[in-house]
Amino acid sequence: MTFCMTVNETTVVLSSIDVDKCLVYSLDSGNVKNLTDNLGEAYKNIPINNHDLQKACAAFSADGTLFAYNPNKGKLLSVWNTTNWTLVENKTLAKHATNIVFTPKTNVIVVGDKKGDVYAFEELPIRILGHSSMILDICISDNEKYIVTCDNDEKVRVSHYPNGKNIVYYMMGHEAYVSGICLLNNFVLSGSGDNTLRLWDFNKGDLLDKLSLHTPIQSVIEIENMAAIQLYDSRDVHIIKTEKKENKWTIKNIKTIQFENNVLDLAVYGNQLWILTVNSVYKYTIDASNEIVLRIQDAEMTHKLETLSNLVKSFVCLEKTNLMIFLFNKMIDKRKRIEQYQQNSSTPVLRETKRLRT
Amino acid sequence: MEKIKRPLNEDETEKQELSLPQKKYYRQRAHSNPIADHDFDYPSCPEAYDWSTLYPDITNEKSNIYNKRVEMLDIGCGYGGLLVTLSPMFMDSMILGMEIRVKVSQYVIERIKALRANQPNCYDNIACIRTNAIKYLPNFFKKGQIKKMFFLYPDPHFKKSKHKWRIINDTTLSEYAYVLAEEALVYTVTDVKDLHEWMVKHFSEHGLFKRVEDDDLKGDPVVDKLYESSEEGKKVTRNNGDKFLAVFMRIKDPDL
Ligand SMILES: C[S@@+](CC[C@H](N)C(=O)[O-])C[C@H]1O[C@@H](n2cnc3c(N)ncnc32)[C@H](O)[C@@H]1O
Repeated sequence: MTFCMTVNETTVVLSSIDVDKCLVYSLDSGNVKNLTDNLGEAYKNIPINNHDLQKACAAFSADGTLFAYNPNKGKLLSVWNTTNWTLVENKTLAKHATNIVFTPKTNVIVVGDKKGDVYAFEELPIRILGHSSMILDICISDNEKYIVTCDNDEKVRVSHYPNGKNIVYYMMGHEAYVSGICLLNNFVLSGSGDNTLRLWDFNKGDLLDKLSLHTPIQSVIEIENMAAIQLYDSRDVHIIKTEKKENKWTIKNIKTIQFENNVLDLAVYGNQLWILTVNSVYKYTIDASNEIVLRIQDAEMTHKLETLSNLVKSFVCLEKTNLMIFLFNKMIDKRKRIEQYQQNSSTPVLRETKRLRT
Repeated sequence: MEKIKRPLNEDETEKQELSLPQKKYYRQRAHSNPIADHDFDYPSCPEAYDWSTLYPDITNEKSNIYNKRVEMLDIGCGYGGLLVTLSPMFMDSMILGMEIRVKVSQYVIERIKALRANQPNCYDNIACIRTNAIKYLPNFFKKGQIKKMFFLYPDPHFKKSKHKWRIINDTTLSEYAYVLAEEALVYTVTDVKDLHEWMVKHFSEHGLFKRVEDDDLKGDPVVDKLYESSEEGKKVTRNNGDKFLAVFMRIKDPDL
């Protein structure tokens, strides 16, 4: 994703890593500020990086007081105070970030990167854990005892936090990159390039259910104990929930919303679901107990959404630096290679062992 | 190789299977990049793997390994010398060699096939697969499944920039700890002092391993076999090289 959207109570932040903009839009005043213009002199003269694969990532702390994102230039983690939108600090990362989250209670920034490492930015960065391929999503449990990560190698992993070296479970079964995960009560929900959503028992590590959405899944985000699902190169957003059926937990698709244009990112604040498409921003609210998904389009909000949509239109998307496109293409390549391999290898590698009579 | 169209008669089968494969036909460049994503021959999860293709005896009720699962791993098993040595020592355990080089693993597969044919009811508990052990252990094994793990003469990757390729590092150790049972043992041997120190440092600092003191290794029948069972071990002996041993135990997380 070269774009991302992040929301707190009073602000919507739109960032595009390709054009190197991070626009903070105040829902109260209507003011817009580009954080990237205020990173400091040192970053002014660096040319825009349009060769490395990058993924725009950003996050608000749970209390909304801090904001962190990765600008286009350099391997930076830029941290902001949201009360007056002043720069707290620019930290240097070991590798390009693919994910930024805050711990839910202690406001520690946790960053996953392209190499597969996850760092917590306490006073000094601490390496929490490592995967053998790129980290694609991170979730930290509400009690901050566990961290869930997923990667480009089809793996979902639950580790202890902060001692991420101690792995609780690998949840294996996906057949392509795992692009998104979220925690729903005692479950882990994962979505993958293999088109499936999978529901796992957090305490036992077992697979409970699997649902195909027929398109590679690009991101999964928790909202009010349900989840919103974004698909690769698609105009659809699915809202799903977990449901107990005949004593088994299952994934139930409760609604599919179709937009005029491709969806670029989803953001959640409380019961609000924000959707960024190629040229617009939408807002919905979710009433989980009644399974109601409501589009907000009163005059005041419509005006704000229009302003936001106009900001989006100034963004461009460079395909060759788009990490998700890269992952998708790589998956397709691999499928072709497997097909070819299966056609060519008439003799299986392992032949039956024949026994000699004694 | 000549292709034989008709089915082999008994004599011919015998001849074919009795001859052990020759190493010279299975040589391959020493280092393949273990991080490159070129392989796909792995199960998506442990349940998806049919182990009877490697160990036909696991479906045989009379066998020692009936219904069992792999408990010992030789990571980077090379030409398989250790597997062959361990097989009769642990008749009741399934032992697996994992080797990334295609030809080398094929050699081991052929070797085991020939050994089984030569000595029926022996060597049914060992097998070898071609895979990247750095990436795919959780695809093959469940948490806490493995009781013994061997790293004999792992590639040293001398250059500092290549250290990340070393098979023992922070990232891989967590994965090894995951598939290892508590109190399981990891045996390492190398002729490279710097690599020995690197391994000791990484295992000791990881938190889920404890070094087993030399005194406590005296009763372990495996230890004596580690130096020379494998092909690399024999080579080091021929060259009068050093041999450094270090054994570690998987311990409970002391902080939990
Ligand atoms: C120096 S050899 C030692 C072989 C054997 N253990 C012995 O003592 O003779 C190291 C072996 O590890 C294999 N290897 C290296 N990286 C590997 C990986 N990621 N997965 C599986 N095998 C690997 C190499 O192909 C090589 O055969």
